[in-house]
Amino acid sequence: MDYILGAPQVILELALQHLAVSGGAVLIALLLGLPLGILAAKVRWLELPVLTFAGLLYLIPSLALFAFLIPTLGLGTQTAVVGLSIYSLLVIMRNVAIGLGSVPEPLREAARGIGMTAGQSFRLVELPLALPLIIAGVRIATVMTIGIASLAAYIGAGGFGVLIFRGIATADNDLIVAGALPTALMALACDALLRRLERRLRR
Amino acid sequence: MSDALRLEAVTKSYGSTAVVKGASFAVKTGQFCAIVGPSGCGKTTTLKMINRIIEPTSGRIFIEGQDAAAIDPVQLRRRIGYVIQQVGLFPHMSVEDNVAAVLRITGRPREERRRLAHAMLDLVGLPASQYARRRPSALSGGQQQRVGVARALVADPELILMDEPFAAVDPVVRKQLQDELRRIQAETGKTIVFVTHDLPEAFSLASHIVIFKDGQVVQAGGPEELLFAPASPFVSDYLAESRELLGLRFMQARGFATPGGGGVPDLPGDASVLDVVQALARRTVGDRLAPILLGDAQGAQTWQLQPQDLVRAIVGAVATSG
Amino acid sequence: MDALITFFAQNAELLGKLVRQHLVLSAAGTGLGFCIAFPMAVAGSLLPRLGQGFATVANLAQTVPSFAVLGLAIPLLGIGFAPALLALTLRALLPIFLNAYVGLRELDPALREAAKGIGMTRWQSLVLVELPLSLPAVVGGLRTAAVESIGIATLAAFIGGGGLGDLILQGIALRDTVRLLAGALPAAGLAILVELTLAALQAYLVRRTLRGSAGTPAP
Repeated sequence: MDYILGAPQVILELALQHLAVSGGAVLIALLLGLPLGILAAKVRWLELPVLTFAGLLYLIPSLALFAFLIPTLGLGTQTAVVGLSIYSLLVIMRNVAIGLGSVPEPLREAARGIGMTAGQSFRLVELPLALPLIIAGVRIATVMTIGIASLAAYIGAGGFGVLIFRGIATADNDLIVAGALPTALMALACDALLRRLERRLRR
Repeated sequence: MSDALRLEAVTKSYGSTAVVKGASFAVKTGQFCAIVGPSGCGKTTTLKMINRIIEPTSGRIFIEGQDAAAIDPVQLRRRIGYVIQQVGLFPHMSVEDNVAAVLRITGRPREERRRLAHAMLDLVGLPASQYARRRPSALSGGQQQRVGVARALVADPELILMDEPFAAVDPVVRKQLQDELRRIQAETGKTIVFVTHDLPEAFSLASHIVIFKDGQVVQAGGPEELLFAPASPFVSDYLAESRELLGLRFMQARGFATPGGGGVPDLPGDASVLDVVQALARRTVGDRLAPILLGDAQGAQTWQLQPQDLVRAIVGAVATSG
Repeated sequence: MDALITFFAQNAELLGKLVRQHLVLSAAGTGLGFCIAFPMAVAGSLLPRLGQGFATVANLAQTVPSFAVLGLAIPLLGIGFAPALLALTLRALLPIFLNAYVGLRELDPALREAAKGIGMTRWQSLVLVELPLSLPAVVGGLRTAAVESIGIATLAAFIGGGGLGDLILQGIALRDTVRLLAGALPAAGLAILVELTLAALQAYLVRRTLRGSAGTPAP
């Protein structure tokens, strides 16, 4: 606690790094996961292989995943962002596929019945109905990413993990707490924010 | 004291709202009692207070003269059979194990459990040899509820409670189940308390009917009593819908006939007006105006009913029901 | 690839030791977590208000990075196996508790009423009806917890807890790709193996619990 209060400048800088790494990863995952999820929902035979493959990647321990990336990407922010986005990808993709799949068939039929094209039905009916679930996926991915991002400090990506590592190395509890507490708070804040968005969309 | 069940001023309140207000009625041993009333009238709550699934706020309930509040609720429920609309069969147990569940928890030996469960399955029309080892999910809705009835009967309870047991099955199956239940009740002589919102069901099964409205008992009595002597305009209105038809079922046709006539009777001496109408409908068109002969098989006493007198009976029934 | 095979061949003993450490740590963490979280779930299903409280705490606890939990265990237990075990146990609580709790709570209320109605005690209803039916959900929680444990056990290397993370950290520190992958590959393999095994167990339990749905159809 003393450390947080004593070095607000450092905390702020680490917070921005942490946010940038996590946000970047989730953004990439969203950009890839949305089309892949739509594809999985629309081309039924693709769903199983795509989700299974993403599911297997998701199982890999985070440190091991970073380890796989280091030989090609080296140490640094880029490795952290790519690794983190792989985890988020599964969650987002799965929620997009489930969200679109759960739109009731009669609604799709009604959309076609009043003369919507497939594209209009998707844009005006299916996507809006699936949106709360998609946002839920983004929320879960974000909370998870913020947590794992603290590990990314070890491979040179900065963030609150820097303080935790320094704390472990020097057996300084104050430093560990100074890294862990803001990480948890950031995760909780993002969770609350996205939950609110989700609720608003549900109405 | 031949009351199998007696409620005295039973009340159930949630906060400041009373769902059941001072309900009192009695059911005699061997009677088939139906509790009816519009939805939200407190009939299901009342039923669930009998086996203490819901605890009454005040008032007393006597089972075979014993105060239910003084009996341990678990022991009480083991003495009372219970059938609910959602059936509630345990999906991970076979049909046989479902039926025997009550016996299992009371520690009866395996062999006895098996024997009794099989006997009950046979009784409810699901031959044990064919159905005992199946899972509930492999049965149709109607068959599942038969298992539910078998489960309620297996421990030889003094009293059986049924909460809209046939409401979720389709009309054809419901009719079969009603017929089966009537037969089972006649065979076993069990006291049954049955909640339903389906008036024809109540009238076709029950020998005693309790009508609820807004948490209160507005009338209790035999079917004829309710039909021909409604205690209030509410009862009269409530029964009005099915009344014409029901009235015909409970009116003896020979009251409109003249003694005498000879030959083989068309219908038994105690046939209802409805029976006569149905018999006439089965005749060919040209024959419909011929008199109908009522009497017992020996032909010792017979009555002759003219179709025009039947019309008089029906008009009378409809008129009194207005 | 050849280098990797050579490494495995030359360090078979070390690798065996690390895999063993990794598995012991993961299994102990998951097992201990189960011993605490499962009774909590049962208690929570018996006392709804308590269950709500547990669920809220569990959800909050989940936002603390597992890596930080590892660090915070040091002041309590020093470095090595014990703090790693503590961290793993804490992380295993949430999935096991939530799955078992939700599994118990979401059972059809008619089943509980039927059990009560035929005269089962609260305990009999739990043992004979509710727990057997929620078993697949309980195993589902165990599965999530076990897979997560394999992942977090990798991090135990940071605080001297051993396991395959040792090789990864050495690989990063020494810029030795072979060593890096020699730790990462078996770690990933273990996670996938545990997932597949427990997923198969869960599927088997679902089938066994509700065997009839795939059995003889209604005539």
